[in-house]
Amino acid sequence: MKTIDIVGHPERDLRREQRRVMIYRSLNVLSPVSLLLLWELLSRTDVLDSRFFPPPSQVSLTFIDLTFGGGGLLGDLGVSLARILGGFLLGAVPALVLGLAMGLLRPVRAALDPLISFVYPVPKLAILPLLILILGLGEASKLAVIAIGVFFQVLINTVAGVLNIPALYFDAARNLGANRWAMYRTVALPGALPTIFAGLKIAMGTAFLLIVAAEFVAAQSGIGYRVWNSWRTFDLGVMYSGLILLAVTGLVAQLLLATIQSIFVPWQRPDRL
Amino acid sequence: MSESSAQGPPKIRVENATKVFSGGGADGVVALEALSLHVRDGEFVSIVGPSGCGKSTLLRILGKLESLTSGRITLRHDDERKPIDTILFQDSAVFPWMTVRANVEYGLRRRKVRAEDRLRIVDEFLAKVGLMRFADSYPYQLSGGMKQRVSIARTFVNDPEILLMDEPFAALDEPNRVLQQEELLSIWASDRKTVLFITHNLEEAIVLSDRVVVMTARPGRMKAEFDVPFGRPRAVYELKRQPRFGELAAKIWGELHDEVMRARADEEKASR
Repeated sequence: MKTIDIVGHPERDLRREQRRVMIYRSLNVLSPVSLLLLWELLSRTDVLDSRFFPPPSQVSLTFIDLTFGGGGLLGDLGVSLARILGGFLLGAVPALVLGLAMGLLRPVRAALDPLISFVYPVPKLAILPLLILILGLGEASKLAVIAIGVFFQVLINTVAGVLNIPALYFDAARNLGANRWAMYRTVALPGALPTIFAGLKIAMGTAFLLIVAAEFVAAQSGIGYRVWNSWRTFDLGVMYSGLILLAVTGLVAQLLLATIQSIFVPWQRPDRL
Repeated sequence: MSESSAQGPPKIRVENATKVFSGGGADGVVALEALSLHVRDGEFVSIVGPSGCGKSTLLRILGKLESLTSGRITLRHDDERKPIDTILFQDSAVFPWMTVRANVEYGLRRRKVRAEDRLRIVDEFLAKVGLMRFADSYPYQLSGGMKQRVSIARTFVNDPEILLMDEPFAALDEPNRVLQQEELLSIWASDRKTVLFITHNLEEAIVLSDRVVVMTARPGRMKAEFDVPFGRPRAVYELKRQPRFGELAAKIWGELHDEVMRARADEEKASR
C-alpha cells in the first residue's frame, strides 16, 4: 500500500506566478524590439533592399527631422486631424440621436431598418467620386465621406446598444413613473453607452482609414497626401515617417476615447473598459 | 392598519381577469383565464403556482406594464398624492449606471419631489436598509443582497398604496433570503401597505403573508386559498420550526403539487 501526500507550498506558488507575469511582460517588449533589430540588421547587410526598406535608425532620424525640424509633417497631420474631427462629429452626433430613436421607437426602426441595411454594406470609399461630383474637390467632400462612414457605424452600435438593454430596466423605470423623455435620458442613453463607445472606437479607426484614402486620390494637403506623394517621388523617408505619425496618432485617439469613456461610464467595472 | 381603511371596498379587486398573448400567430397563449381575487386594504397576500402559470403576468397587469384582454380590475386609490402601486423587482432591476442614491430616489425624481424632501426621505430609507455608507457607490461594487436592499429602498421610498412584489428574493442564497424577508417584514410593519407577493417558494409565501393563494398551471386560474394563522411580528426561523407551519405547508403543497405535475406534463407534451 502507498500513501499519496499533497502538501502546500505557498512560496513556490507565488514564485511561479511572479515568473509567469515576468515572462509575459518581457514578451510584450521583446517582440517588437527584436523585429526592429532584425529589420535593422537585414537592411544594413543589404539582404533587404535598403532603398525600399531603410533601416529603422535612419527612418527615425528622418522622422524627427520631418516632424519637429520644419519638414511640415505636423502641419499636414493637423490638416488631416481637422478633417477627421469635423467629419467624426458630423457623423457621430446625428447617428447617436437617430440610433436612440430607432432603438426606442419601433415605428422609426421599422421605417429605417431596410434603408440602412441596404446602404450600410456599400464601401464608403466607393461613393467618394459621387461626393466629389456633388461637393467639389475641397474640404466638404472629405468631411462628408468621413461623416458617412462614421454615421453608419455609430448608428448601428447605438441601436444594438439600446436593443440589448434588458427589458427589466425599462419596466422598472416605467413602473416608477418615467415618461418617454425620462426613459431616453435615464435608461436608453446610459444603458447603451458602453456599446456606443465600442462603436465610437471602431468609427475612429474608420475615420483614419477614410481620410488617408481620400487624401491619396483627391487632396493637395494632409498626411495621406504626403504619404502618397512621397511614394510617387520615391522619397521613402517621408513615406515611412507619415506611417509612423499615423500609427502614433491613431493610438492617441483610441486612448483619448477610452479616457472619455471612463468619465462618461463611471459605473462600468474598470477591467471591462 | 386603521379601522376606517380596513372597511369599504377591497383594495384590489380582480374579476374574471383573462390575458391572451397573441404572439403574432393565429391561436395565442392563454396566460390567465377568468381569474378572480380580492385583496383587503393592508393585507399581505402571496400567490404561488408552477412556473408559467401567469402569476407574474397578473402582477405586470396590475403594474400597468401589460394590458388586460378581458375582465376587470379595480384598484382603490385612497390618497391621490401617492402613486397607486410600485413593483419590487429582483435585484437585477437596479440600474447599474446610477449610484445607490440615484437608484433609490428615481421614483421621487420622476414625481418632481423637492430636492430637500428627496434628500430627507432617501436618507431615511438608506439608513433603514443599512446602506448609508454606500450611497455614492455603484451597483457593481455591491453584493447581491445589498443590491436587493437598494431595490427594496427604491420601492418603499416611492410610498405607493399597493406594493407588488415579483419574486424579489428568487436570486438570493438561503441565508440572504431569510435576512431580506425579515428586513422586508420589519419595513412593511411600520405602515402595513397592501402587498401582492408573487413567489414559487411555498415557505416564503407562508412566512410573509396573511393569506396564500394557489394558482393552477397555465392557463392560470385560482385553485385554492389558505389563511395563515400566525401572529406578527414574525421571526422567520422560529416560525418555520412550529408544527403548525409544517402542517400548513403540507396542505398547500398538496394543492401545488398537482399543478406542478400538470405543468410538467404539458411541457413534455409541447416539446414532443
